[in-house]
Amino acid sequence: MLRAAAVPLVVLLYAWDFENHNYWATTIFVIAMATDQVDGWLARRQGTSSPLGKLLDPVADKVLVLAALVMLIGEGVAPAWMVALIVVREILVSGLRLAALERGVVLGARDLGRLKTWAQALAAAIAGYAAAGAWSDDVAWWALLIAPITVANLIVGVGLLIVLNVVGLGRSLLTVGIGHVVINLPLCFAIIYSQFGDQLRNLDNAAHDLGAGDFATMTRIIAPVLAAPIIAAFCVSFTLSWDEFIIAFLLSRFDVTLPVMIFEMMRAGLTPEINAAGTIVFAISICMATIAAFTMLLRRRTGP
Amino acid sequence: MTKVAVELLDVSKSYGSVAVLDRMSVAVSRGEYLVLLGPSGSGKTTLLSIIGGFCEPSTGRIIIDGTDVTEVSPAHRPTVTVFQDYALFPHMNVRQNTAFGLSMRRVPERERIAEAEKALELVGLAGFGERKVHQISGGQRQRVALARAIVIKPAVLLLDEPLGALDVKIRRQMQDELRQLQRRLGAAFIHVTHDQEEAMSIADTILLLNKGRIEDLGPPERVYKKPASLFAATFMGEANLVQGRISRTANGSVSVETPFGQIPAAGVGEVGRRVNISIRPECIRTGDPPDGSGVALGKATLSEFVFQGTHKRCNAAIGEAVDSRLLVHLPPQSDLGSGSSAMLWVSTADITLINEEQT
Repeated sequence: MLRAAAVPLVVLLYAWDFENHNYWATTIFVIAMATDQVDGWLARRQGTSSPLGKLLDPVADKVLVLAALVMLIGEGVAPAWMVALIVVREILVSGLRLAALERGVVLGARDLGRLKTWAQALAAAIAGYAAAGAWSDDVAWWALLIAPITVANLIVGVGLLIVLNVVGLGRSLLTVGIGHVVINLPLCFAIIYSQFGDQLRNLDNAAHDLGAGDFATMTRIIAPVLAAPIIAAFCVSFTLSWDEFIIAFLLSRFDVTLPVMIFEMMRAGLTPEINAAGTIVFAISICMATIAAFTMLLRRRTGP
Repeated sequence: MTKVAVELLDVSKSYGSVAVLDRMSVAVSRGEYLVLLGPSGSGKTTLLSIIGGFCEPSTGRIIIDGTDVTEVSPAHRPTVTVFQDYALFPHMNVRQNTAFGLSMRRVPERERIAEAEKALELVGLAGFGERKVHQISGGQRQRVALARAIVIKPAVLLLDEPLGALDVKIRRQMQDELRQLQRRLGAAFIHVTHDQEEAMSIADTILLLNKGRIEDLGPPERVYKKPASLFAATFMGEANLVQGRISRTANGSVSVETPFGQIPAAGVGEVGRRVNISIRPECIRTGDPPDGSGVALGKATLSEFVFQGTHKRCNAAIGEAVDSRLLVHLPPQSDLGSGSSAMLWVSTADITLINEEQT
């Protein structure tokens, strides 16, 4: 219940304009979120986990996180649309939970939901410190883009399923594609971002200076210069998507991907088809690796 | 068509509470070679990127060729920048790099190649078109960057420490070539450097910056011989700064009381004001001053001789006081040595009054 008390304090600190107020607000927010862990642990330990507590606990978390995010819009750090999206989602889920309660089912804070709340808390904390000026906005953006990597695929999958249900998009290969973009994006971003620097900024400036528009700069300068990391990101994403199972399983219905198909077949026992599929996948992988190695060698010989 | 190529009106730039440029107004003529000179952190590179359009000024307007370009993107300004690291496109060869600006302007390929070859020839790189960027030397990369910039015939060429990465010999050569190129093209060149020798050897006009303010603006010879401020006197080579107090004033000239006696100087100021006199070390001569045009400084004991090729550098002490020491550059053929004494004098034309107190 400490966290419920922390809500007005955090809001007040963000709103109140004195020196370093953002630091204080964010720090109290982080401490309040940390008590959650202790709180739940104590409750379980003493066996006082009541239906009401189960329901109120996540609600207190959410109010705290949402309050912090909303205040951060005011600080100009978190984009309004992103926060709005999160708020709407939370209200939907909470409504769902209350509706379930009316029918006598307590949808407690499962570990999934809990992890999700924590991911949002992490993002809010990063943004909070960014507002306080601990990092430049660039670093905060970087952290926000990378943060999803820390969330398990299963949770991303469940989250996407909920969103897709709300939007009314049926499960298909398209939704699997969206899911894979979501899980691979942070990794691709991290790989390509590692190549960013002053040199690239100057190339970008030089291209614009010589009369190139954004599109021409992108296609004729930036993409060719970043070809190596882009190809690397593609290969990694491809490999990850190729044998990604959980999201593909959750988000596809009839157009199943190979790993899902293999999983289905495994239920019927080890059949020759599985062996065949495995052999083909293995052969294709070996071929691709060999071709890649040869092109690299050839390029090195003709290149510098 | 106006004669002014670039005009900055009241341009300021600040990051948060830190002012990088403080209300600066400068005009650069067509065909003028302007050098922005100053120590690191003086705001010279910021000023260049404001003219190039990579950085927005906090206040003020930028006018190029009579058009207000403050809101115009770099792509649509008649300026091109030669970057400090050259920013050549590594995946293109020398000709493709040079022709890039033309291909962005949709110039037909045949014409594009011809123009690029002409620009490469102009910078002394004829026949290098097929080379890759990583196959050529630093000096050659510098030339490619130049060719890539001049091929689109900008009204203003901006150079950001273009010679910083080159060794001394090539730097000298490139300085001469830059001058010749500028004469031939007739464009305004604005060149950033922290090297005062480089500035003096290529500039028509030096704009000396310090802490975001203009310390001096004028032809190199004037800025060197008659610096406008204490900073200008010390930044442009060595200077003897003599502190004193104005004792008499008479139409257009003052007499300053210093440890070396009364020194006359051209300038104005009220009696009693604390000022400085700047005398370049090579302007101090030995012997008796000629009547009328020379000011005797006194009999000095010379020490700490260093032979520097074009001159002998030594310290001169007149009396015992610390503030009556002078730095002197004697001609290399002088037979004076350590411990010898001589009468010192300076021509009145070589004395500069600086209406500023030392802090």
